[in-house]
Amino acid sequence: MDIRVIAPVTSQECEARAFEQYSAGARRDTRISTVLLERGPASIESAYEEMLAAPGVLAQILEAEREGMDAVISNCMADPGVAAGREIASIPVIGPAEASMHLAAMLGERFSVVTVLERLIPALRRCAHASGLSQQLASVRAVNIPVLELTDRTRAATALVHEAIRAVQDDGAHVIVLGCTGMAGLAGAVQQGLAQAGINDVPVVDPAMAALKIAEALVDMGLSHSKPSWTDVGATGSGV
Amino acid sequence: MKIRVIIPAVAKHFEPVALDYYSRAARSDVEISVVSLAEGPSFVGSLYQAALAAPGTVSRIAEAEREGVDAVICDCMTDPGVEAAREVVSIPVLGPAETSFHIAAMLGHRFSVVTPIDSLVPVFHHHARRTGLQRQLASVRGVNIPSSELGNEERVLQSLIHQAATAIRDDGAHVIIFGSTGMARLTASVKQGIEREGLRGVPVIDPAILSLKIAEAFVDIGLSHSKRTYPTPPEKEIAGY
Repeated sequence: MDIRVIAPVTSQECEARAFEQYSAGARRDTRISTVLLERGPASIESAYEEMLAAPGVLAQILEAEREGMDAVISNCMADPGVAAGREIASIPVIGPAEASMHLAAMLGERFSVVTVLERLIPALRRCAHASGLSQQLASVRAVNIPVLELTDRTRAATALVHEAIRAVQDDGAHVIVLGCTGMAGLAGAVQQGLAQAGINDVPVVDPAMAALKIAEALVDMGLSHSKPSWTDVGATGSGV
Repeated sequence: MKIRVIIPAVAKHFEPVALDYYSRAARSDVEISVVSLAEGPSFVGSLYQAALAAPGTVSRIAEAEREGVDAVICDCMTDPGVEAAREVVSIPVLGPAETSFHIAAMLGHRFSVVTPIDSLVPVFHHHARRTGLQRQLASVRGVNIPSSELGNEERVLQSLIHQAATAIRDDGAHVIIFGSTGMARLTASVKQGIEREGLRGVPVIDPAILSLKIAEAFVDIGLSHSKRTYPTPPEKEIAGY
């Protein structure tokens, strides 16, 4: 199957990393392709930037369906353009935040999300509410490292482990969700860090892998999003 | 990878049927095995029967882990023994009801369960509360057919289509979950039936195959249930077990 990952930003490095990580996690029969935006923010750390990323994501969703892709992932925990994209596409449109929160809710009673910046905490809480998972959300914490600085993997992993331990010990988290797709690939390191702190009983969910596996599962089953929920509007309008 | 399907009932005759059904949908690198129970009810259509099926089911799940199986699916919409089993094993244990509720909530704003087994209707309301997804549950509908007449497949199918269409039109369902694993092979016919009634774009979820796909996903990414939610039980003597 063909899965298109949209890096909803203009950073080529983000796109290259997404290609590498999704390809590593994909099944042998899954082909990953990635695209990035021509116009939009370099990274998404606010509702404002998410809003500015969405039009480009929608154009890429249309393009992906035209090219015969089986599913598309908007690779950011803000799930930019995902709900709107379901109105114009019939293939599954997956948001890593929604996918990882539902998987986390299946894995344990309460989960915490550890994201990049404190300012994103309300948005992730709103995503849990929108997914119907408010009761399962133990907390959202931030490591206070901007997205584009996640390239320092050691610093990112150390900070994530620190906040994950607090989420488990202070907030009662039973599952940890990494709260930025820029953290993809760090789940193993966080799991190890937790184990070193004596916490061996808390799974760590990589949101990019959650999105990819849900996409593969839906395509396998021939399932896509409900049209009564996201009614076809017909993609018109200048620039689209 | 190896996935074991546990039929939580004394139903050896159903093993080859389930093996065929799951194997057809499994990826080429997935090996399916099926076991049923030596003791317990012959069919699970209530919480009472699920409670009687649970000890044998959990023991089958523990056995699966000992045999090196990567994930197990408890093949029944009551999810019997699923939570208890997660306390005694570390491999993923999939309950078809819980799994389909979460995926249905991703696929649309509100979902309904349509079940050929009328006695399961309250059980699905129970699952909605258990998973915390009661606001997303539009309705649960049965077929109003006595269990002794469930062999009349055409009648069951027509009723399922009628109930699914009513769930969409009257209850506001945007997604339909097929409310049985044993009769899940009718899922595609229900989907075709509602489409013939002009109801397009409503996903109809086969809970058995969905559980298989999510099991494959969990094993792929090396995830299993939180032991903090399902901690290993204390060691003590339990008479009779």
